Amino acid sequence: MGQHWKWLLTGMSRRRFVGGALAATLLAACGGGESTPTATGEGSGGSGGETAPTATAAAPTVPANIDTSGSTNGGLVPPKAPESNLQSTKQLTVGMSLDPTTLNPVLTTTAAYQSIYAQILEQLVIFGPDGGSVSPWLAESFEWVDDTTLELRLRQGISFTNGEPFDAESVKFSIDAFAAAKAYAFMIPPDVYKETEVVDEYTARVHLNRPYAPFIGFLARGGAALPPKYYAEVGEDAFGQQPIGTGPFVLAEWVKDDHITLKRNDDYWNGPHPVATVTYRVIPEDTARLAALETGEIDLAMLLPVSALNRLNASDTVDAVTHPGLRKFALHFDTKTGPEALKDKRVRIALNLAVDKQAIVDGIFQGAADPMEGQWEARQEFGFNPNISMFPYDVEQAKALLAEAGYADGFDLQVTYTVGRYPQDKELGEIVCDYIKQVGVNVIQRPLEYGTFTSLRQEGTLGSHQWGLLLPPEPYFNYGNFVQGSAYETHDLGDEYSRLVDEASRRTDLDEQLALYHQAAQIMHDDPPMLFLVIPQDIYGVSKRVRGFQPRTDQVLWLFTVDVD
Amino acid sequence: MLAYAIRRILIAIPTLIGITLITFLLVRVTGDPARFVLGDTAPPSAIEAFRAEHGLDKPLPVQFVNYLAGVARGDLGTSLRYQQPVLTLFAERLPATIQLGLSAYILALLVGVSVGVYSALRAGSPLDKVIRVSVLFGQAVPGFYLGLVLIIVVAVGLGWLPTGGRGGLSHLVLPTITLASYLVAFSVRFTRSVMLDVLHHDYIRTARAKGVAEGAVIRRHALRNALIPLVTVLALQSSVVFSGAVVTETVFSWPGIGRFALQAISTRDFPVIQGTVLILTAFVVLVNLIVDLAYAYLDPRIRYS
Repeated sequence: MGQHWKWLLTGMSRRRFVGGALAATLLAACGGGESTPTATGEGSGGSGGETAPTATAAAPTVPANIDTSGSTNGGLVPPKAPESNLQSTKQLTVGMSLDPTTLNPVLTTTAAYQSIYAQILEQLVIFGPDGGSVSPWLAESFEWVDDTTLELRLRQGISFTNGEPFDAESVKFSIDAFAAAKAYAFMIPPDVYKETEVVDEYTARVHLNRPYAPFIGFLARGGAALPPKYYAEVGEDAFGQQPIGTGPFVLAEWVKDDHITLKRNDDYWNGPHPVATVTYRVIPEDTARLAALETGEIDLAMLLPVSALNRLNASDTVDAVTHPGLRKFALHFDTKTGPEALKDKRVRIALNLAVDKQAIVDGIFQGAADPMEGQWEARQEFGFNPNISMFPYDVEQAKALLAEAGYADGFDLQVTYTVGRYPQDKELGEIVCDYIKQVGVNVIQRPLEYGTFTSLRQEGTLGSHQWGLLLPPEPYFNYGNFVQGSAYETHDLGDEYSRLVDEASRRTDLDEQLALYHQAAQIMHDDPPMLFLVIPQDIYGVSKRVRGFQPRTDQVLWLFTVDVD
Repeated sequence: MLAYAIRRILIAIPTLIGITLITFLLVRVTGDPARFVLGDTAPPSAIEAFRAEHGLDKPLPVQFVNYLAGVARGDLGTSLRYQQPVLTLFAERLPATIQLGLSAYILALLVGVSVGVYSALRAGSPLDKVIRVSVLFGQAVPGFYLGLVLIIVVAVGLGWLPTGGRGGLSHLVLPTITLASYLVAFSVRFTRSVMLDVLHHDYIRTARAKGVAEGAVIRRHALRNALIPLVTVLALQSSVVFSGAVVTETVFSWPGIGRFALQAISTRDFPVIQGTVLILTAFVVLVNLIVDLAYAYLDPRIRYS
């Protein structure tokens, strides 16, 4: 449930949006962090898109200690913590599947790494937990002054833990670093960023060479505040081993492949965190991570497999928490080199009707997934079009459409899918192929290891393929991937689609932007370039002693609201 | 013997180059590391830049010669994933693997010898049969399965030991048992068969005839002679320990080179895979050489020419 529905209801333009930590604090305080538990499994059938924007299908109910609110603009900054927290010696241990290679956000966009450095380095602006909004954080507010100028007003009186001040100079340094970073090249074309101007000590203005509204999404994904002197002194690699920021924790110890320990930053600007020590333990094996959670060795297990759900739900000490994800499984139709039949959109619509997405959600994902709703964007994302309905499961209609298109006897279709790259990718590929066979299409399955899969993709010989793409929740980073000539384009959606998406990327007014994306989504629905499948939910195991845990769509762990008993 | 040693070392060089070449080619068959390191969303220009930066755009023979030249200078390359020298990353993780490997060896020796001797002395007894069946189990059960069962039963079910990670002695127990399961079984079988052989030798009969106490006959005469081949054969199992470490370290979140190697394989970190295989191959070759030389030292009848 994105915050955007609020301003849609009120008609308030977000072009001039001032976050307001005060309002945020009040809202957070009033909300109590327990509202809006996700609704239980609906979402099948063809009318899912017509209802009000409530969250869909989080199969296990979210326990009371899990905060699913906080989707209000600026409502992300919790109330200032009391100084009495300094007396606390509480410890929190988190189980991760990956050991980070670096904790320098300039060098990586990996969510698992950000789940660690996000406690040390803070963002100027951040995506809300639902991924559908961008909220201020170290920037007190942001505002598009004109189409190419973004003004950031900064919180005052904040220092990095090495004593360097957080000010407009450090913001300029940070944005310069991120805009030039290779890791963020897919979010910000090289001709976009011009410079950041230091207006005064706490005001910075970003100047772009051309209108590029997704810049704010880029800032929400990167855009951490870096200490200029220290960063320049040690260099980007050494910074990645010993990062320094303004966050509630500092890096205390890093034993490679084993654990990372963070200690509380006693001078944190929003008050000392109630947890004194956070330890991230690297436990790559899913079963072992789950076992460590059950024995109380860790308090929080990130991104567990579907197979863990039964054990988690049966446990007295641990809760299963699911959250709508963003890894979108779809069967991308290659209408350029694929069989002639795919060029006919009736055939592609027929294939969309041939697959029972809800059965896949219930069967393969044990309810911990959401069907794609006839469009690329997920329901919680800003660019989602609520007027589009999911393709229903209708074999008869699918056969009728195929017959109408002249393929009553089917046709040959090779389907390539990854094996072992994403959770349940092989099972999904097999069952989707099976569904397609049932409407008379002769499917030739080609399961591939990811190395070969990606090589063929680079060569352009992959053909129609199923894969699970995870993109940041900024609409342009999603819609933009299917415009003419883009890296993921396997079907030409036409000039109008490309024009709409390009136009949307130039509009800083969110109402106008959204209207354009809605039109683009409709084109994508009417002339589907893919078989829209499912979006698995993220699964976390959370000890009952943990309070305030807030799963996030971008899979980043934020501990700002977390406490332990 | 010096000439022999030098010759063996010289022979080892083409072996190492051969292994390096095979590893080099195999990892390149598995796909482009740029996509793995940079992710699904990296634009083609970034992929190309990455390949150029790491020399992956050059012809394979050129890449191989460059790599060998680096190895000759003691440079095993830079990890694509960590952007740090492979040797540094390897050295950081080596102590953990040595600790686990040594404790597995100690367990294998202690349990293997004592159970093996007992089994030999009571050959044919019901307990001997139980031991022999258990040993078969120990040699056959896969490490990842045994490890997970131990975690679920001992750590989760009974709550006696931690599920994984590297810490105090308690953290060492389950991974050691898992890694040592094959070695223990191997030691038991080997000790039993050597002891059975030794116990039938004339000098044992002589010792007993002289009136030496049975305990002393076993300890001083039989076991001492049986231990030398056991230690030798166990030393030659070092490759088994390293390959077992890959699974054991992953299951128990043990921060050693086995897990490091597996991670490198799954992320196509070519230099790390090549460097790890090269170092471990060199180590195994070296251990074999030392064992061969030690044989000559221990047994005067053996002469190398």
